[in-house]
Amino acid sequence: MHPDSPKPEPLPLSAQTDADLFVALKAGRVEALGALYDRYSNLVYGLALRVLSNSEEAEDVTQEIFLALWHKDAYNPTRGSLSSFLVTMTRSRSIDRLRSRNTKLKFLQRWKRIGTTEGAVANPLEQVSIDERSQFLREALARLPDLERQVLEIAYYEGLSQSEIAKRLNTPLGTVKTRTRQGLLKLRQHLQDFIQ
Amino acid sequence: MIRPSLPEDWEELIAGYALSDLSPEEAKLVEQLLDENPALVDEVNQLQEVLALLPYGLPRQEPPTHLRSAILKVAQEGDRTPKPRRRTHRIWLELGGAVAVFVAIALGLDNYRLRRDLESADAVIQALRQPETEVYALEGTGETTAASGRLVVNPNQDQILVTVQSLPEPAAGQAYRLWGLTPGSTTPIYYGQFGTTAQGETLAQLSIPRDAILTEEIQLLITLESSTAPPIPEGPLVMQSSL
Repeated sequence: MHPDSPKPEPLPLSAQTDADLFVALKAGRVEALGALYDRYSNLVYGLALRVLSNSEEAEDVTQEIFLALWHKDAYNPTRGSLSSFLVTMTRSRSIDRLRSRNTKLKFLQRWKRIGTTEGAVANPLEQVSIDERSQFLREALARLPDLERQVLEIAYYEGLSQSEIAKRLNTPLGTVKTRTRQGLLKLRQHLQDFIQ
Repeated sequence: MIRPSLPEDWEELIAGYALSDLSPEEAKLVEQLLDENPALVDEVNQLQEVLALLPYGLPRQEPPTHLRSAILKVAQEGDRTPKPRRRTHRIWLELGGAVAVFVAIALGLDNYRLRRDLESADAVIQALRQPETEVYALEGTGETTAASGRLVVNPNQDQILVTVQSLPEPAAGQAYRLWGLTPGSTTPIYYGQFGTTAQGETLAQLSIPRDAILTEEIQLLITLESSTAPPIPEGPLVMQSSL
């Protein structure tokens, strides 16, 4: 932040960009946290609820996520969009909770393959509204072959490994991998098609 | 530009990378590809962003209305007491003069070893006397569930003291490594490595990296690693801070 660049704020908080709200939040303005909550709480809570199937735990995760945004320097805007950060952290915490109900956490698998790049981040839907994102996603997902969508959703929302998915679906591991990867690639293609 | 010499299935490999589902062989290949083709890094980032859009496809779910005010209230109250609550066992601090004996018991050390480790034990005692000192309990996982231990952290002196019991002595060339994972972070902080005795004990003093603050919600993890490997966790998890 540059202390010598005062920023007039003609826009109401609800109309400000995520980046502006994040700056205000880091400056200690709790109303910026409120505005980000209004913008993303449905997404965060909905994802936690999808993973955990328990509204109390989903509330806990939602609270953790927004308080972490407020208290900690976990989010780095140069590494990706705020929305993607919130989603990734929500998913990770929710799946941790899910697993800690049954088995020990698999920390290492999660750490190992994380990209640590500083390259340009391209969220294809960065410029569209949240309602439009939902609409695009539903349409793009509906266009995926059922089997690809199925493995992608299991991998994403249940955090199962590919071999666990293969076992559950009684499908060869190679097939599961191909379907998941193709599913993701097609999803990106469909989303790009929408915005072009 | 992406070079034409890429393997035919490079897109799938990159997707697998974003999905974290690569086999070790594939992972090695992708890392090589990323080194050789920086443009692919953007591809990975983009696919990760696409993956993070998936939840937008979920049915709309409103959190209960009280949650917003609850979160904002906690956020504001937290500002008045900026130091987050940590899981501590402050009773340790109240033992006063008995602290040396207590340390000896807590560490499972006999008198002989205690004398030999006098210097380290002194450090523990000093650390315990600091009002800022925090103590974290460690529990064994998997094949080492019998292991137990404590971490004594003295933020003012940038030190962590690790004491464990019943953690088998690592084989030659191996060591236990201590990591911290803060909420929301995907990169573990490496604090250092240590061994254990044939009796499965240790009293190790590690330093806290300058920027690695221990927060209330940090997860402390101990893995078994090659003692010469770079500081990236690869080996099995043997202990973790208890929740």
